Amino acid sequence: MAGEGARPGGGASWLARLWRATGGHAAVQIARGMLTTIKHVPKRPVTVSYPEVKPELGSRWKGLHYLARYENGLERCVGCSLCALACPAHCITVVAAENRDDARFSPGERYARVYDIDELRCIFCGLCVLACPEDAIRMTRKYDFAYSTREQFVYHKEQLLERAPGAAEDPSAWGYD
Amino acid sequence: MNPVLLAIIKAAVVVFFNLNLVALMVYLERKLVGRIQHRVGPNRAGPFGLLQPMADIVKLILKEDVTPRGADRWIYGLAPILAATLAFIGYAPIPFGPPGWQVADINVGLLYMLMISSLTVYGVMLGGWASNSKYSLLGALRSSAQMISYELGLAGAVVAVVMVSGTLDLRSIVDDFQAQGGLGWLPGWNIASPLLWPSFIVFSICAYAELNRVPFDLPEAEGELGAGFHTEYSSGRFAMFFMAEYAGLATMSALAVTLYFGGWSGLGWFDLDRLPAWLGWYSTIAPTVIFFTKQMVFMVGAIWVRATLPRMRYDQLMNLGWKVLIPVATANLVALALFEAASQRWF
Repeated sequence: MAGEGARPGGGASWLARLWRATGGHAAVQIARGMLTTIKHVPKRPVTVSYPEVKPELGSRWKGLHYLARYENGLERCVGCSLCALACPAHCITVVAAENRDDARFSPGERYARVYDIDELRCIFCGLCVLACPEDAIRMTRKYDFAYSTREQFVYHKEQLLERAPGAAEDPSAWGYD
Repeated sequence: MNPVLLAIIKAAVVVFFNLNLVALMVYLERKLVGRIQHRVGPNRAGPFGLLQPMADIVKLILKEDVTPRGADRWIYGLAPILAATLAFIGYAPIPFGPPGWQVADINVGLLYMLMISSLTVYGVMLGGWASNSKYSLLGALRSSAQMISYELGLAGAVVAVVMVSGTLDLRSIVDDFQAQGGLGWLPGWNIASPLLWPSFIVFSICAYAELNRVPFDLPEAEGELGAGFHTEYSSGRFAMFFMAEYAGLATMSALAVTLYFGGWSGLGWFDLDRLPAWLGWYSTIAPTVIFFTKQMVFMVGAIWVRATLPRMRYDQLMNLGWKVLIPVATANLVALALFEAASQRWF
């Protein structure tokens, strides 16, 4: 047939063409669409009413970092900077210093004198955790930290250390596995 | 009672009622669309978020009222007032109850309604023109073309009702239903007559286009034109356009109920005289309750349509208006005229 497929319904019977031309087809489709939407009204909303209801976190949720210690209180971190190297967001700053017998922080030769993480830059990928040879940097399940200036988002070593003396919050209470 | 005073009181009550209806509609729309999209909708202000419209309006009015540089100040200020006024006065000839329950009992009420709905294009057009913004202007141009095109279809559909009822008086149209009685258990509403079905379909489609509601909300196609004709409006002036939209929806729904769905007449299944004496007061307001229930069905239907249908393209809109709706309305009119003539000649 000439012109077949040139427009929708071109090769169809005259009845089907009339059906389309008079809007019957459109009316049926609209009715189907209306039925679809109304079916969703009685369904439960997927919204989590956040401040009142906390979301259910996955078992391996990656939240705020912390620096672990050994049983005897020594820091695990030896200041090797592998975490800073692995970090795709370049948010970790490590400055190492030598341990001395009268001032020993970690079992190895060196320790991290400065350990800063800019939590605004951090993408919470967990590559620092994977890179760490001493299993020093780990992640908690804490995600709800908010401040009013950028500087406050840079976590210093004192804030990151597990059971740190004088730390605002004990990271071990942040619910890590 | 002084008739002028009575008219003023009636008008004030109806406008007050409609303003509250606008607030309720804004809330209902957000809530229902939310539920359709598996969201909860507003739930912060007041119980179930019921105070949300109040919070919205307070926020809007407290915002800075910006007038763009180069705007035609006088017309820029006039446009939202015109839009809101026209949206509210359109309700005047609607009979929402037995005789007396009406702001203005005019014998050409239908003509008045058509006139008001044609005039609403001015609020949109002047607002877009006076804003000195290309987006507003494009929105206004689309809007005026759309509203003028669909005005024809709307009038054509309404004339069919006039032909059946033989009057332009909205109260007489409703009384006409009641005089007809019912077809068995069906009430004798205009919609019961199959010859008026095409007219009703054309009327509903044109009403959506006339009100700039989805799927015909091209004048404010937010993806393409910013916010259309009210891009430059802020604060109380924007609130006026916003209210006008919902008040127009209320008026159109009321008109649809009056023309096709029996106005304030009920289904006739329950005799109100059988109510116990202590509920006697209910028989006084029952017709109005029935009327507003029907009106709400249409208004909620508009929300439902909004949550379902995508916006049409401009050429599709014009094709539908000129090549489908107006011919259908005209053909319906001719068929109805032939039927009426035949029924007078032979039956």
